[in-house]
Amino acid sequence: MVSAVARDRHPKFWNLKLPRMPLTRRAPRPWLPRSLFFLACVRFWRHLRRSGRRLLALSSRRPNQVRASFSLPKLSSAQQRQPGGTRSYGSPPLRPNVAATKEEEDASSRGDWCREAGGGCVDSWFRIPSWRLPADTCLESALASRVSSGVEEKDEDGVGTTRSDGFQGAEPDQRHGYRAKGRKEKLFASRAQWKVKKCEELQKDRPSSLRSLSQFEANALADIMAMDGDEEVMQLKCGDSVRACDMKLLLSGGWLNSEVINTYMTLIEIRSRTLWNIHKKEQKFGRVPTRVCVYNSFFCQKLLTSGYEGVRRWKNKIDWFEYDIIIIPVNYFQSHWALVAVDMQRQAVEYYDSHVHSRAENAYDSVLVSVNEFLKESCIHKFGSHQRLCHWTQEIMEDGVPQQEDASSCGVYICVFADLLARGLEPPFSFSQKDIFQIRQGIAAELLAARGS
Amino acid sequence: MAGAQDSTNNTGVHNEEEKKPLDGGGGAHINLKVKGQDGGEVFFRIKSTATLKKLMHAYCDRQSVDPQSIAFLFDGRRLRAEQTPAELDMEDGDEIDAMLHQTGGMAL
Repeated sequence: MVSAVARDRHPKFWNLKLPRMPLTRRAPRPWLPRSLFFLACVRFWRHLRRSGRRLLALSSRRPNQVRASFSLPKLSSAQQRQPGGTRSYGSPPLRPNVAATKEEEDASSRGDWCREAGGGCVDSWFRIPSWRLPADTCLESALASRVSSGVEEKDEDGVGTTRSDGFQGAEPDQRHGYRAKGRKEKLFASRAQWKVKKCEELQKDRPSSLRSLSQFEANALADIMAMDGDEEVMQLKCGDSVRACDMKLLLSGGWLNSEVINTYMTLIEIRSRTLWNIHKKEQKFGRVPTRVCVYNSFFCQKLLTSGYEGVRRWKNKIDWFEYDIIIIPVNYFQSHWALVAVDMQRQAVEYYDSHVHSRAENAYDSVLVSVNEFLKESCIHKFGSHQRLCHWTQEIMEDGVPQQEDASSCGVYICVFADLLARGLEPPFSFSQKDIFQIRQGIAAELLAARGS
Repeated sequence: MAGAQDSTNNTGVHNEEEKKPLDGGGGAHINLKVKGQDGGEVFFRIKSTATLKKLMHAYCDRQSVDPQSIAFLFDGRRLRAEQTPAELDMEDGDEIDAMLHQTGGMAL
């Protein structure tokens, strides 16, 4: 078949006096489709813009490194600074720059950002960035932008540089931002860096809350300590919220209440869901992330009082056997926290307690029995029989589970247990009583950083 | 029992509108049961498009407890005051759990 165009061009057809058909004649197809060319232009333009920004960011990066651990004297100074008056976040008072320690300077000059990223901001990557938050979610929006912009800045250039004058500039990360709309991964300088960070996040076997705080986080926590007790500090989309008095309990070494526990457990679930989604998309991790399902702390109480029927409709849309681990915090008589973890792969119901030797025998027995009953009933409900459960075991985990040495921090312990289990780890866990104060601060900072997610 | 008495006593948030017939429209009224930890049940009848704030305050007033110390759960999900039964897919006769906040720190 000879097309009309070829017929016109080829000398063989020149002597044919065929009428031209100007209506049907087309221009020769360009070697690159126009749409592709347009796309390439757009990509190239973006590349130019991005590299320009990167150069800007590199030239403005400062070598100093601020990393102050949050301590109680700072709290009191914050309270003295603004004794109950209105806090004006718009023009925060000048604070003396915290001098960087020697080894941190060394680390930053070596470009040892892995350690910084691991220690500095661990879970902030799954947080919704500040520009997606509504203007005043729970804290004053100024505080929000102050805290989150500090962390994001650290995120995207990966080195953990927190600029010491970060409070003065209105929006310190405006020129650093590489993020496109709706794409979380653009928080990082490059996609490769983002992947490295995710992989590290997956391989880490420390509790994410065991870290030193950045200056921004420390300031935010100090502000919370100066707040009124009933003010809501953060709220998640699913309805869990933490008030300032709960946060004060957490920071000052008090007993944890169900608000803090439930919110933190929800965060763990959100994190594992995010990791799983990334894993599904990328398929490039060394380790498959653990899929975690978390029940709130009222589950066990409801299960004990009204049996399977009472909790039948809780999370009835999910399939338990899709998950790797199911975490259920348990409260005993308003005085003690423990953790029940249903491990689907080991086929065991595990019981974690930070004070395992002085337990009340019948209390945990009844909890384990009722959780087992629940498993059985839901298996019957879903599959018709509980054949799947016949090899399941119950274990009281004792070896390698750190034990509390004070009389107030069992809630913190179960938060860390849940965190580590969600990372796919098993006992022995490597933290102890001396880390608890730091962990409390880390948990508070994580809660604060995850507001709105 | 207090629970038995409560369950017979129909305490409506919209008591005056109780006579209205239930229709399938958006503004339909539904009956909700709030179950306390002690097993006591209180019945409420609210519009499915109204927020749950009134219900929560009415329950807390009735039980004379601090609203901050109670968590309202529906199917294990935490209820917020600004949510409505319609957006939560609540149906007539559904049960809301009112749980006292738990605390803990010391072994038994």
